[in-house]
Amino acid sequence: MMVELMKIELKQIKMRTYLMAAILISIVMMGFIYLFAYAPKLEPNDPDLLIFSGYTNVVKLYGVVHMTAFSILASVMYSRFIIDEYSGQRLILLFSYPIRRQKILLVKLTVVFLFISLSMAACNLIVFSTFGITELIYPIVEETITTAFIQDAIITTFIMAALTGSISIVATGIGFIKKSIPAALISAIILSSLSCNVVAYSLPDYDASVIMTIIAMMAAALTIMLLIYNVNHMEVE
Amino acid sequence: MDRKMAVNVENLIKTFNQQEVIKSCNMSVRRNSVYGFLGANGAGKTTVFKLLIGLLSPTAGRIEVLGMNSFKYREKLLRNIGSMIETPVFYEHLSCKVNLEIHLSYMGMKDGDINSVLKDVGLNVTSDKPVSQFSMGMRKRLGIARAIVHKPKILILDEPTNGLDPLGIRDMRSLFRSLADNNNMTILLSSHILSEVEHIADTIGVIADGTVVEEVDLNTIKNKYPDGLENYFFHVLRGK
Repeated sequence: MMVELMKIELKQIKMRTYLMAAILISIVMMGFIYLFAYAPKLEPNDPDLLIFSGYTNVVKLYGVVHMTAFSILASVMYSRFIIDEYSGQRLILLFSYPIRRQKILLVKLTVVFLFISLSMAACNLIVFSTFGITELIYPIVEETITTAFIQDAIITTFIMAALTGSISIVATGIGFIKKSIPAALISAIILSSLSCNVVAYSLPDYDASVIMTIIAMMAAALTIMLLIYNVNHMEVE
Repeated sequence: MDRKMAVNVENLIKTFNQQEVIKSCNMSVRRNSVYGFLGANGAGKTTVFKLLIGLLSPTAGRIEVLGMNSFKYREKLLRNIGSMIETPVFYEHLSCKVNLEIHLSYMGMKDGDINSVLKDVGLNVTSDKPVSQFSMGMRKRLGIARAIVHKPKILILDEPTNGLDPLGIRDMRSLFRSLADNNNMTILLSSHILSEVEHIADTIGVIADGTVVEEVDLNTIKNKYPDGLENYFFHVLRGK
C-alpha cells in the first residue's frame, strides 16, 4: 500500500526540477572538494587554513557543506509537498481520499527523504570517486591516500544523509506551524549552519557529529509526531 | 436509520471561534434522489457539505451517511462519495486524463472508465493539454468528472454549474439526472440559480442562518407555487 501511494506521489511531482537541482549541487560540490584540498597551498603560513589539512578533515568539511546544500533542497521540496499541500484549497482534495491522513503525510515525507538520501549518495559516489582517482594520480593533499579515505567517505555520507533528513524535517515542522515557507527555509539554513560549526570545531573526531545527528533525529521524530497530530485533527474551514 | 435515506443529519451544530455557524440543523436525503440545497450567501451550505464529507468535525449532533457515522467511518465513506467543493484544484502540469488516473489510484480503483466520463462532461479525451491551460468552464467540467469517475454512491456538488456556459449547464443538468436515474446515485447539489435546481431536483432543502428551515418535494412546491421556485424561496426566507 505504501509503495502504491509512493508511486502516485511520484506521478504528480515534477521531479525533473529537483533532479536538475541535485545535479547542479553535485557539480558545485565537486568544485568545493578540490578547493578544500587546495586551500592550505593558497596561504601556506595561514594557521586557519590548516583545518583543511589531511583527507579526514577535507572529507568531513566537504560533508557538512554538502549537507547544508541538500538540507535546503530538501526543505524546498518539503515546503512544496507538505506545507503547500496542507494549506488552502489543496486540503479539500487531499482529505477527500479514502486513505488515513497520516499515511499520506508519511508517504510524502518518505518520498522526499528517499530522493534526498539517494541524491546525496549518488553525488558523493561521483565526487569521492573522481577526487580519489585524481589524488592517486596527481595528489593535492599532502598525505598518502589509503583505504581510510573510503571509510571516511562512507561514514560521512551516512551521517550527513541522516542529519540532512532530520534538519529538513524539523525545519518543515517550524514552517508548517507558522504556515510559512520562508520560515521553513530560514530554519533549515540556521540549523545547517549550526551543524557546520559543530563539525568544524570537533575535527577530526566523529563523536560530536554522531551526537548531533542523534539529537537531530530525535527532534525529527518528535516533529513527525506533531505533524501527524496536526494533520489528523485538521479542519478544512 | 431508515434504509431509504442516504443522508441523515440530526441536531448538527458547528462552531468556529465560539460562534455557532451551523445551528441545530436537521436534514434527510432519500437514496437515488437529487437534493437541491438552496440558501443565501453565507447561510452555511458549504459548511454542511464539508461536515458531510468529514472535512470538518461536528461540534455536536449526528451525521449519518449511507447508514454510517460520517466522522467515525470517514475513510470508508469517502470511497463512496464523490465531491466538488468550492473551486476544484488539480495537478496543474498534468493532463485531465492523468489527473483522473491519479484520482482513481487514490480511490483504490484500477478500472475506472476515464474516457467515457470525460466524454460525458464534454472534455476532449485525446487532449494532452495541461490543466493549467484550461478555462474556468473546463476546470468545472473536469471537477465534475473527477467527482463521478470512481462511481460513488453519493455525489456532493457545491455550485457545480457556476462558471459554465448555458450549453454546459444544460449538459450537466441531463448528466446529473441520468446519474440519479440510471446509476443509482444520490446527488446533493447547491446552487444560486433557482431555475437550475428546479429542473433537476426531486427535493429542495432551504438553509438560512445555519439551519435547514424547510425540506419539501419539488412537486409539492410546484403545486403550491405554480409560478416557479423563486416565489417559494423568497416566501420561505421571509417567513423565517
